[in-house]
Order: sequence, then C-alpha cells, then structure tokens
Amino acid sequence: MRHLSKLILACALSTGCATAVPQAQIDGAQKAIASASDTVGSMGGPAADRLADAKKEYDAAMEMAKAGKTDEASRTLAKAEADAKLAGALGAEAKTKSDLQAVTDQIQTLKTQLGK
Amino acid sequence: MTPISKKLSWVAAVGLLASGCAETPKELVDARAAYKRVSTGPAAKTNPVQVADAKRSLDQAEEACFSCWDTSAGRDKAYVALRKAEYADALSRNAMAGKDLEAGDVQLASLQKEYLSGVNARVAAENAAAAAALGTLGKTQAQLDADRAAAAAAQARAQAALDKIRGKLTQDERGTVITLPGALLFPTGKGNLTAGGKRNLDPLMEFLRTDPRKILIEGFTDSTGKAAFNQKLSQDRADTVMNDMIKYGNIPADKISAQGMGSQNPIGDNKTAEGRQLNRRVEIILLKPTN
Repeated sequence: MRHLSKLILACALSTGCATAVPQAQIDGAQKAIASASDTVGSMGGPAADRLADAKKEYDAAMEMAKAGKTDEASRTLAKAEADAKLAGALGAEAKTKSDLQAVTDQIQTLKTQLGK
Repeated sequence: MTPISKKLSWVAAVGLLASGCAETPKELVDARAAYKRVSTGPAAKTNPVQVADAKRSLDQAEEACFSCWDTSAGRDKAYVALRKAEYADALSRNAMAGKDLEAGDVQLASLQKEYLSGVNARVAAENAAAAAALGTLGKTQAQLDADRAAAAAAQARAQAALDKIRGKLTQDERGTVITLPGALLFPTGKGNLTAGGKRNLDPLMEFLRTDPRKILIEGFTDSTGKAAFNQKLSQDRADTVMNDMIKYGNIPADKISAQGMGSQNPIGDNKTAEGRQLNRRVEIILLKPTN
C-alpha cells in the first residue's frame, strides 16, 4: 500500500500534474489576442510587436499542451495573455495620441486663421 | 580535515546552494524595475487595480525564482509581472492622453464655433451686399426699361401728332427737334396763329405736356425783307406758339421758352420759292437734359 501511494505521487510529479490546461485560460488568451488584433489593426511599433509575441506564445502553448507539458503550456498562455493585453493597451494609447495630435494640429490651424 | 576545515566546508556548501538560487533572472530584475516605476508613477492613482495585479504577479515571480528547482517558471512569472506593470503604465498614459484629448476637443469646438461665427458673419455681410447690389441693379434695370418704354411711347405719340400736321421730327445736338412749316400756323407776314394753325398745334399739346424735357420754341423766317422785321416776326411767332401752349396746353411756363431767330440757319434755298417756304418755320426743341 505504501509503495502504491509513492508510485501515484511519483507519477503525478513526473507528468507535471498532467491535467489539461484549463479551458478558461485558453479562452482568456484567445479573447485578449482577438481584442488586441482589433485595436492594433495595421499599426506597427511596440503594439504590433507585443501582439506578434502573444500569437507566437499562444501557438507554442498549444503545442506544449498537445505534448502533455501542461504546466509549461499554462505559463506560456499566461505570457500570451499578458502580451496581448499590453498590445491592446499600447494600441489604444497610440490611437489616442494620434487623435490628440490631429486635434492639436486643428487647434493650431484655427488659431492661425483667427489671428490668435 | 580539521574541525575548522570541516566547518568552513559546510559554510561553503550552504553558500553555494544559496548562491545557486541567488542568480536573479533578468526577467525578474526587469519586472522589479517596471513595478517600481509604475507603483510610484501616475498609474498608482489612475489604475490601482492593474498595479495591484502586477504586484501579485511580481510576488509570485519572486517566490518561484527562489524555488531553485524550477527557474523557468520563475522567469515566466517574472515576464508576466513585467508585462502587467507595463500594461498598467500604458493604461495610465492612455488615460492621461484621453484627458488631454477631451480638453483639446472642448477647445477645438470653441475655436470652431468662433471661426464659424466669423465665417457666417462674413457670408451674411456679403449676401446683404449682394442683395443690395441686386436690388439696385433690378431697380436701375426697371427704371431703364420704364424710361425706354416711356420714350418709345412719347416718340410714337409725337410721330402720330406730326403725321397729322405734316411736321418733321429730327434729332440734333440740342435734342429732339419738331419742325413745323410756318404756312400751317400763321398768315403771311403775321405773328398770330390762324384757326387752322391752332388746330394743328393741338395734337402736340398732350405729348409736350407729358414729356419731362424743357422746351425751346424757335421762330424762323426766310431772308425776304428787312432783317429787323424778320427778327421781330420770328420772335412774335415763337412767342405766340409758346403762349398758346401755356394757355391751352397747360404746359408750365417755367418749362418753356421762346426765341426769334430771324432768317438765321436756313434749311432751304432762299432763292427759290420752295426753299423760302422751308425756311419759314417754327422749331419746337425738346432740350437734352443738362447735368
């Protein structure tokens, strides 16, 4: 009996707690990537770089999950989601700053026309 | 090995084990720096939830990094902590840019309103000027049309009147000249109108009364006889026509004048009877307005 318990524990440790990656985590990463893709669109720069990282990490995580590397897959999915969320935030920031620049330019033009 | 050497060996072994874990991964160093920056910056106030999340991730990374048996897990968690700190920072910057954008929108709307107000005022002024110009133009055009129509009507009436008395209508530098043969109006050598002469003048009265121009009556004789006599006769005849027009044609006296011209300005040959008949005449001149 004692030997059997040790065997089960060893097995569990060796498979890295070989339960499947939680679907909620996969969904969370997918959702973050989709949302970031909408925001980043055809932008370049850091937002696009982070989004590319997120996609690569997501794909890698899926491969790891297939290979039974559940724990590693889970950590990589966490990285993918974090990168995707950062990509979305950077994209939103870039868009806001671009809009701000456009408004500032318009203000300057109007001020010139009004002689201010 | 001496007891001291043994003790030193143990210290070295423990130190080695400790230093094996003390090799801090770059990801964790970066994550710590990012968290420090974000937790002391504006994001701490604007995005406290995300900053706290970054802190939790950093704590997990710290813990994992000191579990020496799995450094890759520590690095991954540090990476996530780094990204979460950067995420909080980006959200904060975006929020601040959003506030600037809102303020810019308000300022832009105000300036646009001011600009449009100026444009509208200019357009209104231009429209008013254009409308005034069009009104003046329309009035001028209408006045011209009316004047033209009145002139045409007057000309037609004058021509009709002249047709009745066999007079002649011409234009010269003085204005419109109505030439009436003296034989139609006066007896030979006299200055008074014959009954037929009065009737011959009647058709002209209405036309002359309604025409706004001033009227000059000039009397002419042929060259037969003495000049003084001819001068007086021509003046008498001009005066007679003028007085008849004032009296029977209701033409205002200040609108009409008379001038005897004697035998001046002949229009026919005084050597022939036909020419002399042409020279004995009265000219009614509708004078051009003088500015």
